[in-house]
Amino acid sequence: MRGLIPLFGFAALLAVLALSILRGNSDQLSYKFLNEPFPEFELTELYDEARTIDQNMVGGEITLVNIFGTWCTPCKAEHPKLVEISNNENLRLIGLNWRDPRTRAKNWLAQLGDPYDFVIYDRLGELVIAMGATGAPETYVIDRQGVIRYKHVGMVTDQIWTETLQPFIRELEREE
Amino acid sequence: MVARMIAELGHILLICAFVIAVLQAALPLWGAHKNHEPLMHFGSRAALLQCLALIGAYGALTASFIGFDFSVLLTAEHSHRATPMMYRITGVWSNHEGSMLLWVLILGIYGAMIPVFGKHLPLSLKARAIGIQGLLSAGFLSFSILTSNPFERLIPAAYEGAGLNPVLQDPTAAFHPPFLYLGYVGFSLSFAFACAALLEGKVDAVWARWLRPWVLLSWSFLTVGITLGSFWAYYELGWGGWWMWDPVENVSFMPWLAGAALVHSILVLGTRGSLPSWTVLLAITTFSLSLIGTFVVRSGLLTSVHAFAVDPERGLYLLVLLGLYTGLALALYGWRANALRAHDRFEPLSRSGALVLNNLLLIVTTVTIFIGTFYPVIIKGVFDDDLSIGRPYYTITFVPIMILLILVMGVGPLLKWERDSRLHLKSIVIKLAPVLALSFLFFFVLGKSWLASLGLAVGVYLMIATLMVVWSRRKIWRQQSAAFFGFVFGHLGLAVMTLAITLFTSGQMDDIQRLQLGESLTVGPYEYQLKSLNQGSRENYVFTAAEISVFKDGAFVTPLISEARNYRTRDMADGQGNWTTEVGFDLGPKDTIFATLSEWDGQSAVIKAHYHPFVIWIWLGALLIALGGFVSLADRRLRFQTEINKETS
Repeated sequence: MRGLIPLFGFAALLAVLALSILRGNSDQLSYKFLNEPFPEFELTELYDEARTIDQNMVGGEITLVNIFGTWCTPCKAEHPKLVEISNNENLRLIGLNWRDPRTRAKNWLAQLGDPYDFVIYDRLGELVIAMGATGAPETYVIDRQGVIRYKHVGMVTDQIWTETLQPFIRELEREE
Repeated sequence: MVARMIAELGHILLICAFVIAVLQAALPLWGAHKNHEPLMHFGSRAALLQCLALIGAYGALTASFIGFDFSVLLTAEHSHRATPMMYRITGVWSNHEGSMLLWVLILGIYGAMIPVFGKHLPLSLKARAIGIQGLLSAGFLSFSILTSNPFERLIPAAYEGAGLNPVLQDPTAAFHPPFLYLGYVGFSLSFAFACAALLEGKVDAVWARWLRPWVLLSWSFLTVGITLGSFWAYYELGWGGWWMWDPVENVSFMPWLAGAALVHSILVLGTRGSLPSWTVLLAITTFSLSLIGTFVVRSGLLTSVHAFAVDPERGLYLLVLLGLYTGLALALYGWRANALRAHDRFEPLSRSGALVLNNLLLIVTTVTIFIGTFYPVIIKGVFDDDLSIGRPYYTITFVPIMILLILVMGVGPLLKWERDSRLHLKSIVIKLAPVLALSFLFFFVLGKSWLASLGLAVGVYLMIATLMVVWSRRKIWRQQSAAFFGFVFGHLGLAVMTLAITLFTSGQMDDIQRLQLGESLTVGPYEYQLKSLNQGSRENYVFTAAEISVFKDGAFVTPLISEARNYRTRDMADGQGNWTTEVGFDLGPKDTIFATLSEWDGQSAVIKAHYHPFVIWIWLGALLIALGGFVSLADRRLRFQTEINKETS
């Protein structure tokens, strides 16, 4: 009977993997920085090269950080939703521009509307990598203490907003 | 028109390969069960034919990449008329569908190796192994055809392709996947022979000696594949790290660890006839870990830089295949493992004993990494709760086990294969303990931290212990087998890696600053001065280049050219293209220095400068390990016609 131990172990593993994959929503699974303070960084503002931004400017109130690049088609698709959120909500929304020339990012925002309170300019992806992002777009929920509480990979759609992000933010608001 | 038909031909050949694989699975297994010779012989021909069909299918896809057939969806998505020839060929495996085709091609090639090199194998063992190989091929071919068809058409055809992702336009990145697959998929032979042996109810030296070169070959390829991947991530991405404990790195590392255990236990089985059921279980485990790697990367279960298009349907299909193959193999193991008898009594105090101890340590390491990688998945799957595991976990679990492993690696090869005496062990320890203690003190006095000193001492210890084995055989070195030199290279390689990892981790430095032309920044012993900023264009990109002059103690060392490249071929909507950065590297035998360019205007640029001592020896050490594996392949004792009893070492 001892010979069957590996099989039972494997069957248990398989069941768990199947459960995870059927439940979907695996975004959070391997995300190392969940419930960790926002990583330290020092970068410039998109519109104002002389203005430096660091991690202290991310905390303090509940904040959405949205990674985008003009080269990323889904970012363009989700953009109207971000503009809508920025108009309807009393919520700080920070853009994190990735791998763009400054002028191009500015033109892109001028064309599509700028929902962001300010935009961190991260040409090399230093902060993007430090945050453990895997691509664009990605949207992070940061709480008042400056801790990363939620990560959404992919576009913020109407459904994601009303069913996931908005309720999550409401709950955070009630926490204090 | 004819050129456009090539993709159809490829698709048909792929389906042919699937049909052949089904027959290759069913008939020889049935033939072996009924002892029907013609059916058993059929397997050999089927395996060869399946391999040819796959070569044809793969050739067809490559042809449509080379010939810019943008009516094939995959070509349109991953090639472009401006893509250089080399990256048109490697572009075939730069995506999920194409790389899956490469995966099944390699599976087919390994399957064909059984009839080609296995003429002397017992007929029923051979037929069963070929049948199981066919079963594997059939499953993965059906996956390729049903969920990931590489020949899918694009109607209407695109006028121009989207081009290959620029970060993949690099030789080390281009050849990382084939080597990795040659490793992963090579373990299918271990799996097939393990299952065949269980069906036969017999594992012996013939079995172990036929299989060992394939285990060595796969494991060495996997070593090269992982090394290339690590080097690429370091060199191309310029993140400043060589290993991130990223889930996808972990899933390639786990079969490597289990494979390392298998390489050693199959050696014990081939020479001493002991450990049959353990070896069979390891063979199944190693390939299953490869399958888990394939599943994880292609299901989107874990997010990482490698994630292919996330598709739950594909994930589920692969999970079913994994469950089927590993489940059946383990059930077979549970049913038949008792039939496998050892031919030799196992002696704890012997070289085999040390190998077994290290086998266990390797498996403990594998389990540790497995837990680190999958614990978050399990918690999420069962309790719907989030948690994460990072580098600190791996540092406190992996490092101590590795140190223990290296200590055993030092002593083991100095012991006799047969039962050894406590006195001999004592004399070995008396020689080696001072090496460890003195080198620790030496590095500690030099100012290294206690952890760094320990790492370095352990590296020196392994190197000296390995050289002691060489020294003890200096008079009979001409009689030493290839496997002996393989052992020397492999173990020295690990010693080199251990030293390099410790020196790198404890000595690396970096800094970032905006520099005006002529200004400089100091990192470690080096001074980085921004000399000039230029712009220009090459084959398929335009670039901005910063020339940085590096000085050490006031003397000029080297120029570094860091570039930001804009590939015209991707995302041309506003004519600005996509930017990537090319890191200005100076890879040196001692110090590696590099600088990245982020922002610039005419007069200044933001430069991040790095100083990495000895980092290159991490990969050279790894390649030395792989070389050890390849060298061992030349061993005459692996030709299994030779008598087992001729053993001398």
